[in-house]
Amino acid sequence: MIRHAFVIAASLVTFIIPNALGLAAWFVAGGLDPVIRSLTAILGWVIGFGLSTQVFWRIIQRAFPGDVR
Amino acid sequence: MNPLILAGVGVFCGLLSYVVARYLSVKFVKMDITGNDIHKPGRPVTAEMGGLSVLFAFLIGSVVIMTVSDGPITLVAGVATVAGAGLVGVADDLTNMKQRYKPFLIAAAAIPLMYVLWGPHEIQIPLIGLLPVGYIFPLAVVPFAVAISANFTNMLAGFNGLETGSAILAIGALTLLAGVEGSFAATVIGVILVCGYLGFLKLNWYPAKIFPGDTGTLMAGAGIASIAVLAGLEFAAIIVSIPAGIDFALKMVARRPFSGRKIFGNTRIDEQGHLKAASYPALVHAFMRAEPTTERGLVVSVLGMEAVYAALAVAVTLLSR
Repeated sequence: MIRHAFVIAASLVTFIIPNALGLAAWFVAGGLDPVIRSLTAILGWVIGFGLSTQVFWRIIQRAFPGDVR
Repeated sequence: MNPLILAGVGVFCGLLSYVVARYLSVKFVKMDITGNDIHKPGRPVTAEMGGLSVLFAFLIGSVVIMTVSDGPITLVAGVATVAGAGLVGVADDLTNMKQRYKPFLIAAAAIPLMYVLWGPHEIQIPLIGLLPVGYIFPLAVVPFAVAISANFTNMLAGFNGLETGSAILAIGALTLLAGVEGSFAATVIGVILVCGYLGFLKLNWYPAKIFPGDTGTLMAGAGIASIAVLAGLEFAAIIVSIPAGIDFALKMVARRPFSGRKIFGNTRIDEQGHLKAASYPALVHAFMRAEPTTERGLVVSVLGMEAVYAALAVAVTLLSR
């Protein structure tokens, strides 16, 4: 169960990274039209989520080596 | 509306869902509407499409609430969207519909919500505030949210009690927040759905006597999205959907997207009943890799993860009000 708790804790990167990137995109797009600025923040969040799931899987692979590709 | 009436209707829906599911668990086996429980020795034959009991209880409960409370048009639209997704699930369970048609049909089920939410809109995001999205909200966000949420819920599935338990936790958290926000339509939809799924869980928990099928999973996802857009809880809905989103993203960025099961086969079980992950990335495989686990242990852990994200959604939303 402790190892399963570690998996749950590791998954929190999928909450932290996309929100950080979404927030960063929001501030970077400060001078743009409000709707474009919102869409930029959403795009930042989506890219962040995609990246963070790969970070999560790398953590799992490092912590629990196996034959999963 | 008196909360006691809503609670009473909820309890009635839970009991109704349980009674109907118990009947269907026998009837569907006789009618050969079944699937194999592949994570148990001997792969026992089990009734499918049990989500029909939740759909039935949801419709009866909604009609009762609309009768006693003169329900607003937003409630009618939300009920129509959730029921529409459930009907797409029924068609899928009976005809094994092609995967590519499902998102479009579920998005079409969201038309009533698009209609009642027509107009420029803003999404509340913590730390940022109101995110203006204009007419993109009814035109794209609503149908995408319903279609994506329904498909996410449909993918993180396949273990006794997993889909139903996840639906209860996710919808439960959003219902609590909808109640705090004072959204009548979202609260009613949430209470009736949670109670319906609780009644169904009694028969879907390990060892399952009936599976929810796509009827149950698609309806749960549509319920999450409907409550979110009706109560302005889009960010909370994203947080509760993160476990399913991780599973989706892992399968999508694999070398052969969504073909892992076809190429590497299903999860296997050993003599002790421990699950052995197939060789492709998926959320449940992360838990199986971490330590030997039984089906029941795996489901408890994934539901624990869902509970963490449900609590996170509630905390973030309440702290940012």
